[in-house]
Amino acid sequence: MSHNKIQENEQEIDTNRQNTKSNPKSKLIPTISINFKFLIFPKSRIEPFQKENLQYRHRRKKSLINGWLKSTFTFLGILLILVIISIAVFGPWIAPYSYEEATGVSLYAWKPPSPKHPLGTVYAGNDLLSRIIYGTSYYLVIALLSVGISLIVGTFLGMLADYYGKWVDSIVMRVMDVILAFPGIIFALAFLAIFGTRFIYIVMILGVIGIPYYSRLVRSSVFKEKELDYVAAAKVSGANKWRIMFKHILPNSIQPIIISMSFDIGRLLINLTILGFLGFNDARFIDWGSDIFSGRGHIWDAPWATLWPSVMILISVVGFMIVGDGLRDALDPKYQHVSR
Amino acid sequence: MSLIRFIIRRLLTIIPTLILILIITFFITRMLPGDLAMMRLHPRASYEDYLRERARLGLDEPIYIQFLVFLGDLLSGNWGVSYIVGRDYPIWLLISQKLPITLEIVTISMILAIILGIKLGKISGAHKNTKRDHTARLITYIFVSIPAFVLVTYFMQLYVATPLKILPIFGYKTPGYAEPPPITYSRILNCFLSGKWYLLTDYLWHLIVPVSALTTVQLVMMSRQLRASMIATLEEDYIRTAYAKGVKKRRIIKKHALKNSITPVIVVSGMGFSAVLGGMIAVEIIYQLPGMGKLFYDAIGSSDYNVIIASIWVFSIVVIIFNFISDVAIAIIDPRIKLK
Repeated sequence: MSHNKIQENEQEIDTNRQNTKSNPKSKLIPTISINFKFLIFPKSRIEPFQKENLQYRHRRKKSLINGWLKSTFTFLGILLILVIISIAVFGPWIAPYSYEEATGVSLYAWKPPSPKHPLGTVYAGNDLLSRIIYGTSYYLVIALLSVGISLIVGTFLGMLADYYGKWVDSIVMRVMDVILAFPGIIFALAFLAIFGTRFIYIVMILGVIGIPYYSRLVRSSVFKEKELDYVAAAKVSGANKWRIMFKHILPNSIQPIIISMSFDIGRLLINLTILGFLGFNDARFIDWGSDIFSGRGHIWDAPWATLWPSVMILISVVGFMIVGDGLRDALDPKYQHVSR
Repeated sequence: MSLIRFIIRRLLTIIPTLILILIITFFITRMLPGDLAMMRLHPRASYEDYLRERARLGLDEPIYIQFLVFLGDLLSGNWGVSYIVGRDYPIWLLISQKLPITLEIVTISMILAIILGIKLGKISGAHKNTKRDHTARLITYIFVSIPAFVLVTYFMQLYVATPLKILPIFGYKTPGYAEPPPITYSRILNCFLSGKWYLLTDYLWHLIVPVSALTTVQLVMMSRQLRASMIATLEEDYIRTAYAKGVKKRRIIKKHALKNSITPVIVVSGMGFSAVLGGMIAVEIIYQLPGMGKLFYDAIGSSDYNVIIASIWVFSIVVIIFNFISDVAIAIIDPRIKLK
């Protein structure tokens, strides 16, 4: 009896296989997708057991990210960032006046908001709305470039410091301490006073000031990762130091870097505003800080001149901070339990 | 015993940092635009006068001798004379008059920010995702994105032009009040020790606006950091054990969670100190306080190089001392740090 059953089962399996074989299209797309997915996502070529594990992790991450997206705060943050980025990108199309008119001199100084100038005018008679719009792209470009410099150089130095042992570690950490010892803005002020306030110099000095944050983060991450087994396995299979660092350790240490990047952009925007307020901005570009400075004596007869640049800074920095908090709640394993 | 060893170890690590800062400051002096000898000569000087001036200033000597001379001058307090800002006033005296004001404001701000920030963060972290938490987080998001000088500008107008008119809008003392006798370097202590209470109350009354602006920005940073670290701490096993034992929630937070989550807050306060010094410059300019920030800004504006160099040196020393104090505070609070 059982023998018959086994034969029946075999026949069932055979018919199943025949069914699938007779119907090649049902296997075609998965085959193609798995084989081509491997080129893009290396994790696709996996065994069924690991596949379930991976699906579980995917589902869990997706539910976290969905929960994170649905919560009001982070959704608001993402919305704000998208608004800011679209203002920066589509600026010249949105602004009612052209760039030359926004930086030139005109007769309508300190005019209140009117249909012609939706937010009023400033000291030199330029329309405040177009100044704000053009200033957004300037600020975002500087912030992104500076964060890029800090990120790349800081990560590189952090990994270098940690993987090569004690002496290199001490030297790099001392240099980081020196950069941290000068208060950031004061260093930037001195540097810009020496070399002039050009766009490139502002980007460079703000990038250099931000290096210690990233290098410390990367260093602490690499400290923890170095002890783990996969690094030993990679070493045993003969990978040299750079390969281990970049291919194995770096992808696992990216999380705190991404979180810190978001906060860093916010911090940089505030620093840029302070530099602009003190007069250290590139004179060819529009700066919210310098707008606040020029409007600060006229708060009672022209309140819009300081109000709207401050509101723009508020919106930008709040957006980045909220998204940074949300990213931290979603990605950092210590906060995985935080459910909204 | 190990605390003293920790302090000695920290002091030893400060020394290479100080040496590097000295080297960098020296290079800044040599990189400043403008010829030192030419600036001090009258316009009709001849070439021999120029050579003589160069020899007198010591610019012809090899670079290491110049460095040693610079080192000797800087460390012995002979910081030169301020040509433009102070009208031939010795810099050491100039800075010793202006540094106490800045330091007092910044110290009071940081202490208040740490204390109040911990209180706010405790509310936020202990009752996470409740209404209290969301309100507190909203407040933090708004105030962390406003630079301090914007707050000061609006505070000033609030107190000036409305019927409130209770706070002064500029200065640090009412004109016509005498200075207290210079017993110590700190103005508050001078007023306190010499018994002139009216001077003390007048000074503090003038300081309310700048201190409140600076405190607000730092306070919300501390509270954000405390919230983050408290959420991470409250998931630990020992807190769960305490709950299971039946300890009341308030006692758990006060006795266990707070003490273990304060360390990152103090670390962040070190970086916040640099930010406060940067924001202090803008606040001093708006509020017309004769402090280090205004001195530095005026010196940069008028290219008074001796003052710039001396200010950079003083600022770095202040930041290093503050970081040292915060490290010792961490070591006292968290005994594990001492033993590492």
